[in-house]
Amino acid sequence: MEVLEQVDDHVLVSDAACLQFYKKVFPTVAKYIGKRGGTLEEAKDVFQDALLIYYEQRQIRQTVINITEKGYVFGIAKHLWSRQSKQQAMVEPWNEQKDIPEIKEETIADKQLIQLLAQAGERCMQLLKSFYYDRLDMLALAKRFGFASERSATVQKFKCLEKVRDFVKKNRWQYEDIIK
Amino acid sequence: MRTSLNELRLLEDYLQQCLPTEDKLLLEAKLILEEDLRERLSLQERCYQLIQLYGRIKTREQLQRVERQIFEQPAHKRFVQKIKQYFRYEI
Repeated sequence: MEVLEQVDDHVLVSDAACLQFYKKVFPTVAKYIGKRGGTLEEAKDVFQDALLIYYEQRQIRQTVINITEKGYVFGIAKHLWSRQSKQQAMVEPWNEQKDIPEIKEETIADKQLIQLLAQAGERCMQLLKSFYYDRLDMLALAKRFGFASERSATVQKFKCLEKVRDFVKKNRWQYEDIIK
Repeated sequence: MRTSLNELRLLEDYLQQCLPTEDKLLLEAKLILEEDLRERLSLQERCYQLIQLYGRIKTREQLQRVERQIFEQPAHKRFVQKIKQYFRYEI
Protein backbone atom coordinates (compact mmCIF):
# COMPACT_ATOMS: atom_id res chain seq x y z
CA MET A 1 0.00 0.00 0.00
CA GLU A 2 1.33 3.38 -0.96
CA VAL A 3 0.52 6.43 1.12
CA LEU A 4 0.61 9.60 -0.93
CA GLU A 5 2.39 12.31 0.93
CA GLN A 6 2.64 15.96 0.03
CA VAL A 7 6.34 15.85 -0.60
CA ASP A 8 8.58 15.89 -3.63
CA ASP A 9 8.77 12.10 -3.93
CA HIS A 10 6.65 11.54 -7.00
CA VAL A 11 7.67 10.04 -10.33
CA LEU A 12 7.77 13.41 -12.07
CA VAL A 13 9.89 15.23 -9.50
CA SER A 14 12.82 15.14 -11.95
CA ASP A 15 13.57 13.89 -15.44
CA ALA A 16 15.83 11.22 -13.91
CA ALA A 17 13.04 9.88 -11.66
CA CYS A 18 10.60 9.99 -14.56
CA LEU A 19 13.05 8.12 -16.82
CA GLN A 20 13.50 5.43 -14.20
CA PHE A 21 9.75 5.03 -13.80
CA TYR A 22 9.25 5.00 -17.58
CA LYS A 23 11.74 2.16 -18.00
CA LYS A 24 10.15 0.24 -15.14
CA VAL A 25 6.51 0.45 -16.28
CA PHE A 26 6.45 1.06 -20.03
CA PRO A 27 7.48 -2.51 -21.01
CA THR A 28 4.33 -3.92 -19.36
CA VAL A 29 2.12 -1.40 -21.15
CA ALA A 30 3.93 -1.90 -24.48
CA LYS A 31 3.60 -5.69 -24.23
CA TYR A 32 -0.11 -5.42 -23.45
CA ILE A 33 -0.84 -3.07 -26.35
CA GLY A 34 1.50 -4.89 -28.76
CA LYS A 35 -0.34 -8.18 -28.10
CA ARG A 36 -3.62 -6.51 -28.98
CA GLY A 37 -2.47 -5.18 -32.32
CA GLY A 38 -1.47 -1.68 -31.26
CA THR A 39 1.57 0.14 -32.60
CA LEU A 40 4.56 1.44 -30.69
CA GLU A 41 3.43 5.02 -31.26
CA GLU A 42 -0.02 4.18 -29.87
CA ALA A 43 1.57 2.55 -26.83
CA LYS A 44 3.70 5.66 -26.23
CA ASP A 45 0.65 7.93 -26.45
CA VAL A 46 -1.43 5.75 -24.12
CA PHE A 47 1.42 5.56 -21.62
CA GLN A 48 1.92 9.33 -21.63
CA ASP A 49 -1.78 9.95 -21.03
CA ALA A 50 -1.83 7.30 -18.29
CA LEU A 51 1.10 8.94 -16.51
CA LEU A 52 -0.50 12.37 -16.82
CA ILE A 53 -3.80 11.10 -15.42
CA TYR A 54 -2.04 9.24 -12.64
CA TYR A 55 -0.11 12.36 -11.65
CA GLU A 56 -3.13 14.68 -11.71
CA GLN A 57 -5.35 12.22 -9.83
CA ARG A 58 -2.70 11.72 -7.22
CA GLN A 59 -2.27 15.45 -6.67
CA ILE A 60 -6.02 16.10 -6.52
CA ARG A 61 -6.91 13.24 -4.23
CA GLN A 62 -3.98 13.41 -1.81
CA THR A 63 -5.04 10.01 -0.66
CA VAL A 64 -4.18 6.38 -0.41
CA ILE A 65 -4.05 4.09 -3.41
CA ASN A 66 -4.35 0.43 -2.54
CA ILE A 67 -2.09 -0.79 -5.31
CA THR A 68 1.45 0.00 -6.40
CA GLU A 69 2.26 2.97 -8.64
CA LYS A 70 3.12 0.53 -11.41
CA GLY A 71 -0.17 -1.34 -11.03
CA TYR A 72 -2.14 1.90 -10.97
CA VAL A 73 -0.54 3.34 -14.11
CA PHE A 74 -0.90 0.01 -15.91
CA GLY A 75 -4.58 -0.12 -14.90
CA ILE A 76 -5.18 3.36 -16.34
CA ALA A 77 -3.27 2.45 -19.52
CA LYS A 78 -5.35 -0.71 -20.03
CA HIS A 79 -8.56 1.26 -19.73
CA LEU A 80 -7.35 4.04 -22.00
CA TRP A 81 -6.40 1.43 -24.58
CA SER A 82 -9.76 -0.34 -24.33
CA ARG A 83 -11.51 3.01 -24.64
CA GLN A 84 -9.44 3.80 -27.70
CA SER A 85 -9.78 0.40 -29.34
CA LYS A 86 -13.43 -0.08 -28.38
CA GLN A 87 -12.70 -3.36 -26.62
CA GLN A 88 -14.29 -2.46 -23.32
CA ALA A 89 -15.66 -5.97 -22.77
CA MET A 90 -12.18 -7.43 -22.76
CA VAL A 91 -11.03 -5.44 -19.73
CA GLU A 92 -12.15 -6.46 -16.29
CA PRO A 93 -13.92 -3.83 -14.12
CA TRP A 94 -11.60 -1.85 -11.91
CA ASN A 95 -12.31 0.13 -8.75
CA GLU A 96 -10.43 3.18 -9.94
CA GLN A 97 -12.10 3.17 -13.37
CA LYS A 98 -14.61 5.87 -12.56
CA ASP A 99 -11.74 8.27 -11.85
CA ILE A 100 -10.19 8.06 -15.29
CA PRO A 101 -10.95 11.34 -17.05
CA GLU A 102 -10.71 12.18 -20.72
CA ILE A 103 -7.39 13.78 -21.62
CA LYS A 104 -7.65 16.18 -24.52
CA GLU A 105 -4.62 17.23 -26.50
CA GLU A 106 -3.83 20.88 -25.85
CA THR A 107 -4.81 23.02 -28.80
CA ILE A 108 -2.46 25.40 -30.61
CA ALA A 109 -4.53 28.23 -29.14
CA ASP A 110 -3.92 26.85 -25.63
CA LYS A 111 -0.20 26.72 -26.23
CA GLN A 112 -0.15 30.26 -27.61
CA LEU A 113 -2.05 31.46 -24.58
CA ILE A 114 0.45 29.84 -22.24
CA GLN A 115 3.28 31.55 -24.12
CA LEU A 116 1.52 34.85 -23.51
CA LEU A 117 1.18 34.05 -19.84
CA ALA A 118 4.83 33.15 -19.56
CA GLN A 119 5.50 36.77 -20.54
CA ALA A 120 3.80 37.73 -17.29
CA GLY A 121 6.70 35.98 -15.58
CA GLU A 122 7.91 32.41 -15.91
CA ARG A 123 8.87 32.23 -12.25
CA CYS A 124 5.42 33.34 -11.17
CA MET A 125 3.81 30.72 -13.40
CA GLN A 126 6.10 28.04 -11.98
CA LEU A 127 5.25 29.10 -8.45
CA LEU A 128 1.51 29.08 -9.15
CA LYS A 129 1.82 25.69 -10.88
CA SER A 130 3.66 24.28 -7.87
CA PHE A 131 0.84 25.31 -5.57
CA TYR A 132 -2.33 24.84 -7.63
CA TYR A 133 -1.31 22.00 -9.98
CA ASP A 134 1.43 20.09 -8.14
CA ARG A 135 -0.36 20.85 -4.86
CA LEU A 136 2.74 21.50 -2.83
CA ASP A 137 1.98 22.85 0.61
CA MET A 138 3.33 26.24 1.68
CA LEU A 139 6.31 24.78 3.50
CA ALA A 140 7.43 22.80 0.45
CA LEU A 141 6.75 25.83 -1.75
CA ALA A 142 8.87 28.09 0.46
CA LYS A 143 11.67 25.53 0.35
CA ARG A 144 11.55 25.06 -3.40
CA PHE A 145 11.50 28.79 -4.20
CA GLY A 146 13.83 29.93 -1.42
CA PHE A 147 11.40 31.93 0.74
CA ALA A 148 12.23 32.50 4.38
CA SER A 149 8.85 31.36 5.67
CA GLU A 150 5.46 29.95 4.73
CA ARG A 151 4.02 33.44 5.19
CA SER A 152 6.44 34.94 2.66
CA ALA A 153 5.54 32.16 0.23
CA THR A 154 1.82 32.83 0.75
CA VAL A 155 2.23 36.56 0.09
CA GLN A 156 4.32 35.88 -3.02
CA LYS A 157 1.76 33.38 -4.30
CA PHE A 158 -1.01 35.99 -4.11
CA LYS A 159 1.24 38.65 -5.68
CA CYS A 160 1.82 36.27 -8.59
CA LEU A 161 -1.87 35.50 -8.87
CA GLU A 162 -2.61 39.22 -8.97
CA LYS A 163 0.04 39.72 -11.65
CA VAL A 164 -1.40 36.95 -13.81
CA ARG A 165 -4.95 38.21 -13.27
CA ASP A 166 -3.98 41.72 -14.33
CA PHE A 167 -2.11 40.35 -17.33
CA VAL A 168 -5.13 38.29 -18.38
CA LYS A 169 -7.37 41.33 -18.01
CA LYS A 170 -5.01 43.55 -20.01
CA ASN A 171 -4.60 40.99 -22.80
CA ARG A 172 -8.15 39.77 -22.76
CA TRP A 173 -8.97 40.84 -26.31
CA GLN A 174 -5.80 39.30 -27.63
CA TYR A 175 -6.33 35.88 -26.04
CA GLU A 176 -10.06 35.79 -26.67
CA ASP A 177 -9.23 36.18 -30.36
CA ILE A 178 -6.79 33.27 -30.03
CA ILE A 179 -9.42 31.08 -28.37
CA LYS A 180 -11.82 31.78 -31.26
CA MET B 1 -0.98 41.49 3.30
CA ARG B 2 -2.22 44.50 1.40
CA THR B 3 -5.94 44.89 0.71
CA SER B 4 -5.87 43.66 -2.90
CA LEU B 5 -4.08 40.47 -1.85
CA ASN B 6 -6.56 39.90 0.96
CA GLU B 7 -9.34 40.20 -1.60
CA LEU B 8 -7.65 37.56 -3.78
CA ARG B 9 -7.54 35.25 -0.77
CA LEU B 10 -11.20 35.94 0.02
CA LEU B 11 -12.26 35.22 -3.57
CA GLU B 12 -10.11 32.09 -3.61
CA ASP B 13 -11.79 30.80 -0.46
CA TYR B 14 -15.17 31.60 -2.00
CA LEU B 15 -14.37 29.72 -5.22
CA GLN B 16 -13.10 26.76 -3.21
CA GLN B 17 -16.29 26.87 -1.16
CA CYS B 18 -14.49 27.16 2.13
CA LEU B 19 -15.74 30.54 3.35
CA PRO B 20 -17.74 30.62 6.59
CA THR B 21 -21.46 31.15 5.88
CA GLU B 22 -21.53 34.70 7.22
CA ASP B 23 -18.59 35.83 5.05
CA LYS B 24 -20.05 34.01 2.05
CA LEU B 25 -23.37 35.82 2.36
CA LEU B 26 -21.62 39.16 2.78
CA LEU B 27 -19.48 38.56 -0.30
CA GLU B 28 -22.46 37.46 -2.36
CA ALA B 29 -24.27 40.66 -1.43
CA LYS B 30 -21.21 42.66 -2.55
CA LEU B 31 -21.04 40.70 -5.79
CA ILE B 32 -24.61 41.74 -6.58
CA LEU B 33 -23.78 45.39 -6.02
CA GLU B 34 -20.24 45.68 -7.41
CA GLU B 35 -19.66 44.97 -11.07
CA ASP B 36 -15.88 45.39 -10.74
CA LEU B 37 -15.78 42.76 -8.01
CA ARG B 38 -17.75 40.37 -10.21
CA GLU B 39 -15.23 40.93 -12.99
CA ARG B 40 -12.30 40.26 -10.64
CA LEU B 41 -13.95 37.04 -9.47
CA SER B 42 -14.47 35.88 -13.03
CA LEU B 43 -10.86 36.75 -13.98
CA GLN B 44 -9.55 34.87 -10.94
CA GLU B 45 -11.53 31.79 -11.88
CA ARG B 46 -10.06 32.00 -15.39
CA CYS B 47 -6.56 32.27 -13.87
CA TYR B 48 -7.01 28.95 -12.06
CA GLN B 49 -8.06 27.28 -15.32
CA LEU B 50 -5.01 28.71 -17.07
CA ILE B 51 -2.66 27.57 -14.30
CA GLN B 52 -4.04 24.02 -14.61
CA LEU B 53 -3.50 24.18 -18.35
CA TYR B 54 0.03 25.49 -17.88
CA GLY B 55 0.72 22.65 -15.43
CA ARG B 56 -0.57 20.04 -17.85
CA ILE B 57 1.44 21.45 -20.76
CA LYS B 58 4.62 21.50 -18.66
CA THR B 59 4.01 17.95 -17.47
CA ARG B 60 3.43 16.75 -21.02
CA GLU B 61 6.61 18.52 -22.14
CA GLN B 62 8.53 16.68 -19.43
CA LEU B 63 7.10 13.31 -20.45
CA GLN B 64 7.93 13.94 -24.12
CA ARG B 65 11.46 15.05 -23.22
CA VAL B 66 12.06 11.86 -21.24
CA GLU B 67 10.58 9.69 -23.98
CA ARG B 68 12.90 11.29 -26.55
CA GLN B 69 15.87 10.62 -24.29
CA ILE B 70 14.97 6.94 -24.05
CA PHE B 71 14.24 6.37 -27.71
CA GLU B 72 17.08 8.48 -29.12
CA GLN B 73 20.05 8.05 -26.79
CA PRO B 74 22.40 5.07 -27.38
CA ALA B 75 22.51 4.42 -23.63
CA HIS B 76 18.96 3.02 -23.81
CA LYS B 77 19.44 1.02 -27.01
CA ARG B 78 18.91 -2.40 -25.39
CA PHE B 79 15.76 -1.23 -23.67
CA VAL B 80 14.36 0.07 -26.96
CA GLN B 81 15.21 -3.20 -28.74
CA LYS B 82 13.32 -5.10 -26.06
CA ILE B 83 10.29 -2.83 -26.49
CA LYS B 84 10.33 -3.18 -30.27
CA GLN B 85 10.05 -6.97 -29.92
CA TYR B 86 6.51 -6.44 -28.70
CA PHE B 87 5.66 -4.87 -32.04
CA ARG B 88 7.30 -7.38 -34.36
CA TYR B 89 4.86 -6.90 -37.21
CA GLU B 90 5.91 -3.25 -37.53
CA ILE B 91 8.54 -2.40 -40.15
